[in-house]
Amino acid sequence: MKMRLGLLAVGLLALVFSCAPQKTPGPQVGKKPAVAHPELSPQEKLIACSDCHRTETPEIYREWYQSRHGIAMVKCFQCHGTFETFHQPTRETCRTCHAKAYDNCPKDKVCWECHTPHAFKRHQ
Amino acid sequence: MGMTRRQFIKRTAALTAASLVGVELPKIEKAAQAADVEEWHPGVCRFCGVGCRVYLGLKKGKPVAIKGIPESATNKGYLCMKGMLFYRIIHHPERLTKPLYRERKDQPFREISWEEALRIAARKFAETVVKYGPDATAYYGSGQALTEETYLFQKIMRGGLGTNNVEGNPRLCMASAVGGYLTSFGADEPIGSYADIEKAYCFFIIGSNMAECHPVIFRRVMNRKFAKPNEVKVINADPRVSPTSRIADLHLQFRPGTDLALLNAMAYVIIEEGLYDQEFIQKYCKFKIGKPPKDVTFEEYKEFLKQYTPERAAEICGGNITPEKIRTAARWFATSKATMSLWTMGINQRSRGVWANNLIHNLHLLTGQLCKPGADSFSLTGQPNACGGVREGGGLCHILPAHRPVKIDKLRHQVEDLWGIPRGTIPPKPGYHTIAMFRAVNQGKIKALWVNCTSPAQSLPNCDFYRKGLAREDLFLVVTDIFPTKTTELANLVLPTAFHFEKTGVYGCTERRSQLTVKVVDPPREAKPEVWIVREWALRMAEEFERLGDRRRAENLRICVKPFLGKEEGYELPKAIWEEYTQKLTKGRDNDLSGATYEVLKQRPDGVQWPAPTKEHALKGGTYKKFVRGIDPLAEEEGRKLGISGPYVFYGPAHKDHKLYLWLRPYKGAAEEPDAEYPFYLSTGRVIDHWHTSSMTGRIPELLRANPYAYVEINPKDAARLGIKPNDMVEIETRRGKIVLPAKVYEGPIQGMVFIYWHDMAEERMANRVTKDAFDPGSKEPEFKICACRIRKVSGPRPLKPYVVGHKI
Ligand code: SF4
Repeated sequence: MKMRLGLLAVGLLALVFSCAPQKTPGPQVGKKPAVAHPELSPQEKLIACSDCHRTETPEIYREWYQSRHGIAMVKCFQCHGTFETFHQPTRETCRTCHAKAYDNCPKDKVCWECHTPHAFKRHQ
Repeated sequence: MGMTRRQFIKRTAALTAASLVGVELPKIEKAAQAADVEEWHPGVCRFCGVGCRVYLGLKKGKPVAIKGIPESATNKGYLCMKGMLFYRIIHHPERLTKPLYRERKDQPFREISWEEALRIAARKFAETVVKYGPDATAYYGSGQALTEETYLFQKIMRGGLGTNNVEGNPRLCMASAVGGYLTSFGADEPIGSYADIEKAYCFFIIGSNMAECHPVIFRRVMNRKFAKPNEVKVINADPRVSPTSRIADLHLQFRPGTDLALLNAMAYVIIEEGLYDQEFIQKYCKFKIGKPPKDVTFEEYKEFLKQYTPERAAEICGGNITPEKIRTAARWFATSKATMSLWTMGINQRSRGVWANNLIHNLHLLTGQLCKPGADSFSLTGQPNACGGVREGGGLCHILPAHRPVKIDKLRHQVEDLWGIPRGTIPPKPGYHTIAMFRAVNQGKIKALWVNCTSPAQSLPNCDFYRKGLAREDLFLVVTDIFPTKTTELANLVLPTAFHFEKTGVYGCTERRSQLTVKVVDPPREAKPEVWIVREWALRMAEEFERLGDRRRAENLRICVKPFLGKEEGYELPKAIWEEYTQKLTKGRDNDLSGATYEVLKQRPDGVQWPAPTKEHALKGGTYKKFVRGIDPLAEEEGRKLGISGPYVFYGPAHKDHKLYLWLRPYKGAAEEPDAEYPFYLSTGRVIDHWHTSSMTGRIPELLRANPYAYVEINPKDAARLGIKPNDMVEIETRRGKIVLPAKVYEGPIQGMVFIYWHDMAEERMANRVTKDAFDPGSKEPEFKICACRIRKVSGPRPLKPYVVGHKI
């Protein structure tokens, strides 16, 4: 069980990280996130983010799973990058798919100020 | 860092939540793409048959991003993760960049020049033709090749060498859909379009895990369902509960291969309850049985269906099917304001794939759920250009360009005349279909084979058997591709090709839509567009034939490439090929694309849906729905010529009576059903993260990580009975071999069935080493979806490594 949890945690991390914007991975990502993901072994890096986060952050997992993103299989790494490139998404990340919303929404706010993160309901 | 993983995750979660209430977010990195990109270039996605439009972003001439095009009629800005990330392939360090050659397959490859490579390929093919006859050579292509490429390859094989041994991997995925459309409607390819999705009120999704295999189209279906949750019904029929089932109001889970009984039972209910459209049937349909087809009456059809009462069908289908569920499905299907069926490989990859297609069409014909907005019988294509290049461009052994069957003298002579080669050059006999072709390789009948942009060593069913043939020393194997694959491992000559956006050409997606992608970056080092490779190869073959004293073939080859001489390869050459194909070959045919010139395609960001016989019509986007007067110009024209009144004209070339056929097709099981020795059904399929053999997606870290290796899905009840726990290593054994995979225990597959993803290249996990190569007698499409297997636990969890040929993981 311990091992499983470890694995889970690993996957979680990977998940959080793996949702990076559509950018070349690696050094050019820029500033480090405020919180670093714990180190993962190569094997752990091969676990899908959601596998760990399902138990480690069940609220977030559930929000995502039940959202349109979850049903349409928009996975963690599409917004947060991989383990190596993990970052919080930006407006630009969302723009990859939501160009119209990007143009219509206020420019001084990040998307999830109005659209609940992970659930992405239209408005809070 | 002093923080446990659990703490870290909690903290991350807290930060995310904090953003909700306006607490300062952690610093965000600089904008990922748009800010970095200097130019955006429009094109189409490289992967599945959906045909999403994308912008490729360049910085200093280097691809750095992709984004969806919001105005696109197809994807409305959305992309799945494969589409978003394929730009990483363009400058991937593992690309093939030099021609590689070895005389014997036990030798290492050595780099050679293009001149040497082309000479070798030309000499081998020419000598084979002279020594063993043209049918000892073959071309095996791909639904991922551009239309221009498929067209030119088959022109050289048929018009130059004189063989119909021209095949492509769409035989493995779409052939049964072709067979179904031709026999039911008299014309290949769907009548309607994706635009029907937003007008449909009932979706009948059968044998398709759209959520993973056609994600962006699934998203449109999902949005439609959520927009009108009570009015729109979704029926999902599948032996496996998949992510697609999440939007279903009704899931029909049946024993694999029994859907023929289910579909007939739905027809039974429609008739029994008087839900059919008598007027539509009377005006437009005929009932048919057997081979050669015989006419039967509606009464005889009714009598035939008596074997498939919902009660009887529920017994055959097993699983969670009840007579009441069948009745509900039939009622929703028949009575909705508009019903759209969607299916893919679960229906096609079967030994009765054509029949299964016919039975779906039957439901639409019975109920008149066709030709009106939102109603259609819509098969989804697996590859980006299976429809355009291979089905329309003549990339299969029995068809010439623009839906012309090889065996019809008049149509074959038309092609010879249009190409300017003597009549009689193209043989009337179709060549080897895919399985027959690789069996012929095994038997030593084929001596020179060109494989383009596909990897049969991994993608053929029962592939170990066929790999023996590909490894034969007396087979000269040329492979054109962008990365090393399981097939390049068996080649004599490996030729590096240009990738998407490194060359120009057209992809034709599921909905008869042709879209142009123009070259914007150069291929790496010495990689070349296929059209250049074929032209140069053909010219050198002409010299070889001359040398060998076969003046006729030398002359034909020169005639075949003459219109393309001296053209620059990145744009002019494919443009000239497209012009010949559309202006000469498709003109006057049902897939008339003569209005869709490169100029028009560049002006039409969403491409053009055929038929598009004039530029005016093409500039409006072409034809959203075939056969409907006022929408389809050919319906108007043919209706006038044939003196047919009414709103619909079914001018499909295969039905001379211009009728739609309802077929009496009995239930028949799979070629190999479970028995005492092999008690489980084995089925295979795809995941959202990987594209086919994963030679491309396996090299993109995010995609590899998301699904690094295949696993076997086992129903919890079966797992409990066999003492299998999640992640245990499980051996899957069929009559063809064994593989060992980690177990995923969940309520996906029906009890008695296991399911494997087929993208994994590792020998011990490669699904097609155990699948069966039985095929549909009509379409010749193999039955990938069903065979019998046994399973046993071999150990507890083991660390595994992903594996992609030539990839430095
Ligand atoms: S759905 Fe298909 S065409 Fe669209 S982005 Fe994904 S792989 Fe590409």
